[in-house]
Amino acid sequence: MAAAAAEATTDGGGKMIILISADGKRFEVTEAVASQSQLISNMIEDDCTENGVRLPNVDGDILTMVVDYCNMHAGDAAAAGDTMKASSTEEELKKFDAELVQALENPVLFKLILAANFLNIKSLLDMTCQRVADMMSGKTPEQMRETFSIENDFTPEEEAAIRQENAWAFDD
Amino acid sequence: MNLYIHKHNKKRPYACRRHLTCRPWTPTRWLSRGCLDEVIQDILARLPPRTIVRCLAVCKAWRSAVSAPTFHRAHAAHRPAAVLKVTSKLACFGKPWRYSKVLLLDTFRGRWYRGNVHTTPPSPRGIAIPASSSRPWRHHALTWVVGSWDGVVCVDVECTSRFFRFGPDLGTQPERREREFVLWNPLTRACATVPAPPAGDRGRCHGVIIGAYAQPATMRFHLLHAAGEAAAGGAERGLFVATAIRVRRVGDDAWREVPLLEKEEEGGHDDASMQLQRRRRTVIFLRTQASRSVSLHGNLHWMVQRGSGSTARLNVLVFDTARERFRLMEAPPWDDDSRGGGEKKGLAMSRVVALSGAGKLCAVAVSPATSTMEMWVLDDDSSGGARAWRLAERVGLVMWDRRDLSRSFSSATQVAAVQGDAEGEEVILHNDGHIDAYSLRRRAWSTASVSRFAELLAHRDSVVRHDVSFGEASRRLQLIVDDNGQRLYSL
Repeated sequence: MAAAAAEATTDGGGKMIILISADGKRFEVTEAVASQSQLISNMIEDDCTENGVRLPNVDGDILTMVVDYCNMHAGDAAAAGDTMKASSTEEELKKFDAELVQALENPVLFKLILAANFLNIKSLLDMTCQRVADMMSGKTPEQMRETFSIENDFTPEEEAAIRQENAWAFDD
Repeated sequence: MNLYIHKHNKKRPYACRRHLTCRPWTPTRWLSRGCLDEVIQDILARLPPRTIVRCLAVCKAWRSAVSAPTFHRAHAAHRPAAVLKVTSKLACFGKPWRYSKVLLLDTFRGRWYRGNVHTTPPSPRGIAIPASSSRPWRHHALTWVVGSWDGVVCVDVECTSRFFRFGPDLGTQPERREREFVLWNPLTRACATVPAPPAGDRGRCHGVIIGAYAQPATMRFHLLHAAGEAAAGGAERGLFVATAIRVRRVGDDAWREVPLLEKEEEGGHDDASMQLQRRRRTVIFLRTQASRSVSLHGNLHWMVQRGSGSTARLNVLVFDTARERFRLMEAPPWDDDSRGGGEKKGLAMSRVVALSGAGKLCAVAVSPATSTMEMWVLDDDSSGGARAWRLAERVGLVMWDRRDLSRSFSSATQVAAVQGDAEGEEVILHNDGHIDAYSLRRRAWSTASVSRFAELLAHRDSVVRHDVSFGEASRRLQLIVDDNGQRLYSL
């Protein structure tokens, strides 16, 4: 690992950081892109990214998505000064975000949430959690169990008691 | 390499420890396997209230996630307060029929309405407070809505034995009175009644509810009551000196007195300085709805005046709900500012509001001399440094139609901060049916109106269970349908 020349410098002068996924895939990103993750930004602050950042519980394909997302959103802060540009890119970003989460299968979406939570990327976590919440809203407990393959660990009596306690949410 | 992450994120346990020790999980089942409680809570807190409660019945892991007090705080953070319109009417129903005072709550369908006014039918939620139920002498119930805190609407009900009769003897009628507070969560239909503390020897002055809160650790609902007397030298109407503050955990059978301020400030030896000290210690509240507490980060806040006359000064009174302790905070240094016209800010002209979007406390002061409103924001830094007031904006109060809001601003004006979908955070001044809203983002005023008999309440839904909120005091409401087909819940 030490041999890896992780610290390359681009033309723009931004430092490059190497992210290594659980299955050993390597991603080279600029500091601006990587520091959207609070975790990595803290590590940059503490100056311990020379040998690449190993992310032991993020798979390669999930990290690809995260890096894509971060790349798209890195321009965000930079373009903030130019209002015209910002408004057009904002729409593009929204579209990109929507497509990103809409297309995902449940297991991938959950993995992405975990990755966003681990890397502490607030906007990505917000977006993915909101997507799951949208899938859940208005559903009955049975439908929710079915959607997320959750097994019912209540006894029938327990469940009936809960329903009776909170009748206002179950009637109609 | 793993060590790196561990070592360098000691100060951010949220981002590290749990995840590195995370157990292997089956992708489709993790939601129920309690891998990350905070993620589950984060997702569930985004749901509409009804769905949240349905989640209780999905599995045990979800039930414990939804029942935790931390969840209720996360939920409150995700749901900006809606503006409710409160109207009341008299109704009679039942057999034998009897009079009831009915309070109807509906979302205010003007500004700040989330959703489509044309497609969603109004869905008012009503509570009926019978005037004569078990006690035959109760003929007439006077009600007024004191406020809404943590999802619970608090109504002050005064029952008298006579019909309200206008006349010179109004105040001296030897009638029987009974006063109680009705607490109602319109969403979960939880309800409790709490008797008012016994009136002092002064008889007439019953005191007011100045605030209420759900205790952050237990979510049990508490009421704060201030007994007091009218402020001396009544140049300003609507002020009262608090003599005793009592708190009551709903479900307990007594009010407890809470010391208003620590005694340690008492430093004088001779009589004169003692008296001066005492006078400085008096805390003066506004009498009207403006004395409603403003909740932020588990603390309640009021703008108060200490002392009277030339020594009077404004402070922000803070009540720590976890430790049940009061403390005083400096008001913004607006008196020092010569640009503000140099006039002293009175209690009637200033308020505190909570900007929930930014999570900050904001003090507003209206100065009629310059027709402006100053907005000071309390900047806090989590590093424990000093908190300082910052003058965020000075807003002109002369509207496009030449109305000058500073002229109509009085101790009865309600000031609140609400968050709309399109407008972002707005500060509203509500005066006799006129609502003027200042958008902090657009930096512009807009107006709305409401019947002058209606009240507006900033209300945030809460799904806390009735027995958690009210304990033993929780009572069942009876569903009734009145003549207009309106579903009501009766005490």
